[in-house]
Amino acid sequence: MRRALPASVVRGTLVVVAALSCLRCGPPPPPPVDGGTPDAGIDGVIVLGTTTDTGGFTPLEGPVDGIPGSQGGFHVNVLYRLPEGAAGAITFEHQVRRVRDERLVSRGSRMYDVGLTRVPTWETPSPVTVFMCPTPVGVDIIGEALRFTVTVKDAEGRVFAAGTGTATFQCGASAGAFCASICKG
Amino acid sequence: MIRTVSSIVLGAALAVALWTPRAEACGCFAPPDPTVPIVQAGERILFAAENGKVTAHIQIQYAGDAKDFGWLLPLPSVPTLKVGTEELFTQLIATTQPRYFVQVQATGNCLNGRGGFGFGGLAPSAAGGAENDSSRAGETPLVIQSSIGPYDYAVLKADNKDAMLKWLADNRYFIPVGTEDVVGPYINPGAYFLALKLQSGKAAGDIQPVVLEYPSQLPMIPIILTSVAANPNMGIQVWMLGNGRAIPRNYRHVVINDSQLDWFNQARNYNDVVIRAVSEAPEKHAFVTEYAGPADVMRDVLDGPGRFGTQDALASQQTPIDFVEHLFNNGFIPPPANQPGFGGPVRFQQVLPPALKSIVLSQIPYPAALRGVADEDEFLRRIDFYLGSYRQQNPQAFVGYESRFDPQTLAAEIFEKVVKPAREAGALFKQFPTLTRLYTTLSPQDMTRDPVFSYNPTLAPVSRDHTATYEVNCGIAGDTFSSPGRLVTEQGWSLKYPNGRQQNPERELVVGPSALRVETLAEEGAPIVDLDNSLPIRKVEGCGGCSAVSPMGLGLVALLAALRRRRGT
Repeated sequence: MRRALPASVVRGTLVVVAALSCLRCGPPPPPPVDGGTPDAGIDGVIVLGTTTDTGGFTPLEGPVDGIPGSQGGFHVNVLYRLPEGAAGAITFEHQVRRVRDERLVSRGSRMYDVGLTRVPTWETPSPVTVFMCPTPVGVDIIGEALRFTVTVKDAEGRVFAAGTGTATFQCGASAGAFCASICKG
Repeated sequence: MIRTVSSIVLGAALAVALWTPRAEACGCFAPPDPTVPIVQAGERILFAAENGKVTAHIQIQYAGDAKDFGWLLPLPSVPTLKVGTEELFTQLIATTQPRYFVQVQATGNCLNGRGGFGFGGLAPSAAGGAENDSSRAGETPLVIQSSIGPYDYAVLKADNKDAMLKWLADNRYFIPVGTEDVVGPYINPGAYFLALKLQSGKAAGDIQPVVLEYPSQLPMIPIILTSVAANPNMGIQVWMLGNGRAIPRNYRHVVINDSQLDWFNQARNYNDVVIRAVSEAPEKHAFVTEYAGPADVMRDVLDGPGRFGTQDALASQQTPIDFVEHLFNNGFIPPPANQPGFGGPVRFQQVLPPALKSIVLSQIPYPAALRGVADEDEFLRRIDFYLGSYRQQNPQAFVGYESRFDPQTLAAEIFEKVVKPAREAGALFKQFPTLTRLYTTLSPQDMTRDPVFSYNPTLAPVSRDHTATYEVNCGIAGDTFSSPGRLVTEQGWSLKYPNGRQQNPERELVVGPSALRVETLAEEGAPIVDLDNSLPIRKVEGCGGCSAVSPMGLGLVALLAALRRRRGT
């Protein structure tokens, strides 16, 4: 027959656990996207960007236009800029969530081979088209702040970098009513 | 005494064949006469999506005149284009077809004894290497013009609607009336269109599936474009390979009300129930999941060990008779659907698949003198007789008959166009662990939103097999057909048959909602129930003795019983 621990012992244990956990306090790294291995350590920060009108890199923030895709949808161009140390086959896993309620808007992955030599920095050679519209049923993203979260895994599946960017989705002047109709869920 | 008779009759009705659409494709059929309004009756597509790349196997069925065949598909890039295999779809349909069984529980003394009866079967199916490249630059939208398999094809830039449509018209890739109005969303910088037509001299029977690979995060069907040439309630059947169960991302999900199925007749009204259930969803935009489970059900079906033998072995056959015999004996005849392995049906029923037959007859021609004696299939099936003793006995019939038989080139062509597509399609089922089959019907006026598909690996699998229980009391000397009984469906609806199932259908099958639930399936989390019709279905009256017990109700009863037992211990 088991006997319950005294309440004071339970309270004391909780305090110790809380204190120990605070030893690791500080700005938390972005949470790994599904399938990440947190104990591998996330020591790299990936910078998320999008394309400028001239095709250059600009940080992913503020308003961002949906770009019409060839199959009748809309996406956002995202660029990844990796810190030093990338080598071999790396996989970027992204999630996009609506900030106000954490509803999932998009999820996907993309693999690149950056070569066997460790490079100082590495940037995606062309924009990653992150699928946005048609949005999931019931998810309106027009004028909504969206958080883009990316984790990067090495060939062994270890997460070695992560990053986030927040931008507000808009249809853009030329997208018209069609964008409005398919980006409202 | 309760005796359980679980006689499940498989394949009692191969209703797959009941519904044969006139034409099917992912894109848009384009007849040369723009006033011909309807040519497309369904779509069947297998998608696999991973790492930003989509692979699509698209079945094209077409029964019109070969010169009238044309097909358009918007794409995000210049695709990799190959010819696929019809057998993929034959086997996919059979392997994942929903099946409805009735299990009989008989009490009393039934005159038809243990034999009882069982009903079961397949729900009616619905939906019923490049050469001569001549890429050109310049102002024309043309990117690639080439041929593959039976097709001539062109890939066009789709950044200018007028230029693209003009090029298609100038080059006999005709477009149906209305295309101009709906093609707008697909006209964008960096977008492309693939256009197919049959090569001169090819027949509609030469049409083969096409396989496309293109960069895209998620698979999509350009159904808005299809709306200009589609039949009412057009079936759309989608198989998705991936690392988890697939979902319709921007369409709702429907669970059909199984009390409306004609259980005793192999659910032959399945398609009607789906049509009604889908129409109960907002905008009539919803899919039914017909199967979600291991892709292993298709493992080795197309590319089983040893199937086809080797190209060298085929090429070593020195006579037309030996060559064709080798084909019949080495798995080139597709195995019966849903029966893995090869060997096929008994010999007198065997026929070479159309694509293979066409290749073989190009070098071993059908003797014209056999018309009225034997058709092409019979000629090939008994080639040893017709090119042997029959020819010896009828030499006059073979005057001028020439065979251009070259086993090396014929074997090479067969391995390139038949064996390789089958093996590549088969390999997909080893590459991805999960296969999902989704189905819907759409009428042209409802084709207002292109369905996009994604995945939610946390969702529960869906079996293709469904079982109802028929409880029948035979009394002293009744039988299981005419004695009163009660059918309890898989969802728990209790349907009374006071005069036995012999008088089936004695109840109205279309009363009440056809959708048990309308749900939203997101890419994470459990289904969100948008509409639960359990109560309305239960309240339905006048349905021939239908008294419904909801599955949830049954679950509560079971829970209460379990709690009571636990308290008692």
